[in-house]
Amino acid sequence: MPPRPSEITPQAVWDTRRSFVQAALALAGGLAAAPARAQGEAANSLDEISRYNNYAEFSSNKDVVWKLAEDFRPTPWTVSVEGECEKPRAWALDDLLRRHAQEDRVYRLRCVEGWSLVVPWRGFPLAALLADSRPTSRARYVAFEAVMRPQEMVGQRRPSLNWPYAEGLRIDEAMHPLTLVVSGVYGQPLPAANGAPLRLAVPWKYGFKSIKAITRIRLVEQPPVTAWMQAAPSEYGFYANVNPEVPHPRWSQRRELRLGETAKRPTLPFNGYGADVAALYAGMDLRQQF
Amino acid sequence: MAAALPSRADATCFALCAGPALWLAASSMAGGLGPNPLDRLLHVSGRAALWLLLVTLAVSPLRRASVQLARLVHARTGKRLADWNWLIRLRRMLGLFSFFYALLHMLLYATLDAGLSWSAVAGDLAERPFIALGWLGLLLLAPLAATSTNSAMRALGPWWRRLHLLAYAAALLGLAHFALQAKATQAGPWPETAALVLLLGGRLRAWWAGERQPAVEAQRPARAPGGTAT
Repeated sequence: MPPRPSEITPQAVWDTRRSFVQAALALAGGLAAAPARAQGEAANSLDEISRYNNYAEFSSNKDVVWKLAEDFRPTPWTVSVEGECEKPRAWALDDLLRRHAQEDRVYRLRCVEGWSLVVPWRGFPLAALLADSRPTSRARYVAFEAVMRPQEMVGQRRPSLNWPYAEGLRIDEAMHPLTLVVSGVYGQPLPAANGAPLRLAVPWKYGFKSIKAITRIRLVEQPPVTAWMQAAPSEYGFYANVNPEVPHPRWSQRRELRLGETAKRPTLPFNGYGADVAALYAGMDLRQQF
Repeated sequence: MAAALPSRADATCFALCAGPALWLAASSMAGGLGPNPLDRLLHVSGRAALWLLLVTLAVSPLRRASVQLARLVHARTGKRLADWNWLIRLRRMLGLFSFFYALLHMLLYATLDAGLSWSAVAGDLAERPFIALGWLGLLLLAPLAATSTNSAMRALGPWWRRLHLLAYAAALLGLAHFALQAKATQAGPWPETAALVLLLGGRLRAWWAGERQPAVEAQRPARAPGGTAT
């Protein structure tokens, strides 16, 4: 029986990890080229991360989602991988988390609404999950589907979006090492408001691409149509890369409010992960394919 | 003239109008504005500006209704019922507070959101039409606030009322500004829209009926105010 995540690192210790790492780096005598994580930026508190959420399955009001999500049951849970692959399979949550080593990664999260967070996620690369099913050469896109439970998710009783929530990635985006299947935050299981028990973290895209409460993953040949593309095609494209040059009619994409701060700061192309992911889009006009 | 009467009404109105600003100030000092304080500041100030403008526009119809009520009852107390001049005095305060919140809203945006950068403001104007509507609404309110003094009213004469009809245009702009920034999954500002439709409808109906002067009971020459022969 593996230790429960909460048994590993008390949050108080976790909170100090960056100063520990920075001290270690300083001792090592230099600023090591930090991998594309949100190094050097203070992580937001668990309250900021889990009590201000866009999760339309519960409510369009970010301040009440955590309350409405309290009775959501994240276990038992299965997630299926199917479609254009040699070994389709439905995974029980426990089997999945045992099979893949959980890593802690601090990512920036930029919401399309002009606010952002720094989150210490826990999870494993999506690539590892997909590789287990051996995608065929026809698998050019990945379609994700979230849970449909109007009994527990009051927002799903209104057709504010075409439920269940759907998202998608190109196969190279899905296989990118930064793309994470998230099972926890701050070393603890994911709070319901953050998409328990399993969600994506695709840090160079707007937050709505990081689908919550995933139940179904399909490898497909054609680009999937996402929930937001259906709701407002002029505002939300398939790629939804963080891009200050593509305006949105309501929110400035040139700057963002980091939760906990008073004034806005500039938004970086690809949310600051350009060095890692810009090559995925070589030759594309990202103003057109937004 | 009921000069002494309104002091309590004035004070109550002032306290109610200042409430949102005081609450924002106290909460921001106590760190109680939630995870996204900027969003809270902008929403509360903007909403206060729009609601107060709608309340300001409701003063005339209320007085009109009071006059009609006075005529209806034909009583000696008719004058008392209709003597809602204190409402007019409150109207000035309400309108000025609406302008105050609109100005606060703009200043919060310009400093904390746009970082006092002209290029950021210009970019917003170009990329997001609802921001231009907000600026235009504020621009319309400014001359109304500037001409709210007794001396300005006297100096402008009949032009004062015509100028101050711009309050309706400002309310329309404010409402459009508010509606266009609401997100797709959220309900739009229907209560505010309904209120403005009622207010505008009432104004147009009164205008159509030939009531182009202020609604004052004394204007009716058939009966002397107070009902006593002088």
